[in-house]
Amino acid sequence: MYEILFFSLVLGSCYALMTAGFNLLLGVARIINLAYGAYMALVAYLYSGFSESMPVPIAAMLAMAISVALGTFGWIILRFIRRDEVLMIVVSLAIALLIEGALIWGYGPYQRVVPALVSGSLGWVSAQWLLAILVSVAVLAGYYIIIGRTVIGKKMVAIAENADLALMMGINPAKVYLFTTFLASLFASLASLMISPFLTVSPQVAWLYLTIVLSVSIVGGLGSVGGSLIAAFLISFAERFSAYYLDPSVEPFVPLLLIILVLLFRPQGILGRGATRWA
Amino acid sequence: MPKAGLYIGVAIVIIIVAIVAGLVAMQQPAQAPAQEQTAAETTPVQETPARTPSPSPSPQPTPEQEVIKIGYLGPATKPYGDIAVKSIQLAIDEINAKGGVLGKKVELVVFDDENKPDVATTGFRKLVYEDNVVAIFGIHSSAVGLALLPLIKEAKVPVFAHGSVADQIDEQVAQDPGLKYWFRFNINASTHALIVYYPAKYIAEKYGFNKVGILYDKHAWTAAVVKKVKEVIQRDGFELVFEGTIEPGKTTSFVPHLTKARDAGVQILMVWTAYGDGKVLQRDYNELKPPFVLVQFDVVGMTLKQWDITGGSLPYQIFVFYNFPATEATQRFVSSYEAKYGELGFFYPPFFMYDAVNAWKEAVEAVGSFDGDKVADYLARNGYMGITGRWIFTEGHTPLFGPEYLATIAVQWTPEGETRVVWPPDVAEGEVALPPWVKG
Repeated sequence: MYEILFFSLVLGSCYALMTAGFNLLLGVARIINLAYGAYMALVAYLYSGFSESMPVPIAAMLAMAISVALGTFGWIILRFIRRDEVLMIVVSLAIALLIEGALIWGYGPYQRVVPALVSGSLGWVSAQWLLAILVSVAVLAGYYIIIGRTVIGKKMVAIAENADLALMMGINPAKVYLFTTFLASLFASLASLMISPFLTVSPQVAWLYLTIVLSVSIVGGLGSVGGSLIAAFLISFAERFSAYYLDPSVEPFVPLLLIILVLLFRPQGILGRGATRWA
Repeated sequence: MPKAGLYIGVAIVIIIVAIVAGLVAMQQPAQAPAQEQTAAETTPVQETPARTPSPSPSPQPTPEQEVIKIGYLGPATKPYGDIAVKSIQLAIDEINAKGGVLGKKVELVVFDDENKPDVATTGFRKLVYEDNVVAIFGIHSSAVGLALLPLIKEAKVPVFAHGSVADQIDEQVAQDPGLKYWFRFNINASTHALIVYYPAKYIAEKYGFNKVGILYDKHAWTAAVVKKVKEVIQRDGFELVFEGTIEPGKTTSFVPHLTKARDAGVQILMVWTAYGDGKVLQRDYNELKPPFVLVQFDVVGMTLKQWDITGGSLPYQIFVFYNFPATEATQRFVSSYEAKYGELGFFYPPFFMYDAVNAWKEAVEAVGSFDGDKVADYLARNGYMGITGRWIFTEGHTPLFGPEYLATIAVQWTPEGETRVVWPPDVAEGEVALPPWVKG
């Protein structure tokens, strides 16, 4: 039982990290990026592929560098259509399908075990489990510091509150959006490196990741960072305990069930207020 | 959005395609993860690098020579289907090099059924009524096999399956003479239960274990496995304290399964999995180190490559492998296959299908006709002596199992990444070593 508790904590941390990047894009740049899960899957495949021919830490860093560059570069292209939300959604969905197709073409449709970044254990706790928690906590703490204590963070908040007013205050949105995309790509890459070794990846894992991110965002309340944090652990614990007490096949339905319940009884999410501030 | 936005959107999609394709092209994997296979030294083995079926072209028939077609209906783009197709093509090439069958060159027509019954029924009709094949090989999924039975009865075309192990098929074939065209070149599900159970029983008796657990694919092929294994567990006085299921091809973590089994007091966990989930189980077992022994039949894990595929997660885990005789014929097959297609990956499909094609050829030549009735009757009556062993079929047209026929062994992975045979005792290379985290 204690493994289930701790494993829920580990995956909950990863869920929070995953969702932080998604929410950042949504909050600051107003982008609903449906390619987010596929992007994470791509990172996992890059890392897994590189690790076959080089040490794991170098493979992880290389995969992260390429994917963050790719994510940031992608923004440079996509920014032209940012203002058309429908087109943005369609394009991001197309990109997700393209990445999935490319992974199937390149690696086949099979499941793949992603190597852990660290091996060994401390007592009964796997070192990778501890690493995932530590990295998630560190990154989320860094996120709060950036948002609350740095100039660029305050600019991000300003744009999230009112982009037009921020522009009138001398803030260059283009630079802020670029940094936001860089940060979101970094979060997604790190989240993928943390969570993928616990799961098995296939090209379709993109949709699992996207489902988790959307579930956490909706259940927590769109725009509520605190709500997302609560939702991440709520969903993780609910998944693991339903698998343990009911049946593992129930697990994939839990996030969707929670979404339905939230939409029925608290449409704004756990801590959502319908407010416009999302960062 | 102005029109310009749409154009930009299209341009973006094209650019992204180029980026991703370029990236993936530079990052071709050394092998597909589920590539397989081979057992201990007693098992000739290898691996296959290709991802899609790419049999070498058959020798072109001379204009005046007639051609007869046979079909492959199965998961042709999956690793085990791919190597099955290659072994069939190898057998065909050898047959054609010797003049064909009844003076006709043999040609292979491949249809990928994706392991889906609806796709398979379409494929069966296409192969039989459009391509006019005289025999069909392949058929991996039990659901596919069950869906095809009525069509096989109608078409009267011999079918040679390398999977589709559900016992219901045997029962229907035994009861209905109209299904005599079905032959499974693989053991049935009940026997799959026993090839895991007996090594587990041996270990349990050796170390005084009494509490057992079972974990299996939630799939048609395991229905008879579960029924049979429960029957023998009860018969032999063991206590079944855990029963879990695997979502085939979809399980992302086995932590809940293993924790539940541990909390139930399992001392030996028996596993049947066929769709690639095994590697996840093996990784999580190694991470959690639950206090029980793991004995597993992992269809896509029967390979020495599994050590690398799982990142070395296999110490002390026990696998059931097929045990092919190291005869001259077997070695010749392996050499020919490797010379043509590279390392032989999966364990059983190439061996089974190579035998199946040659069994069909022998039957056709013996009866002097491609007629499905005559060929089926001959095979049911005489069986076939192949590289895998002697194929003698029961009333349900499943092969006999045992030392003279098909046989299996249990191998245990060492912490150094090597395997050694631990069961049956008469061929064992050493005793079963309990994992340090299991109390004997």
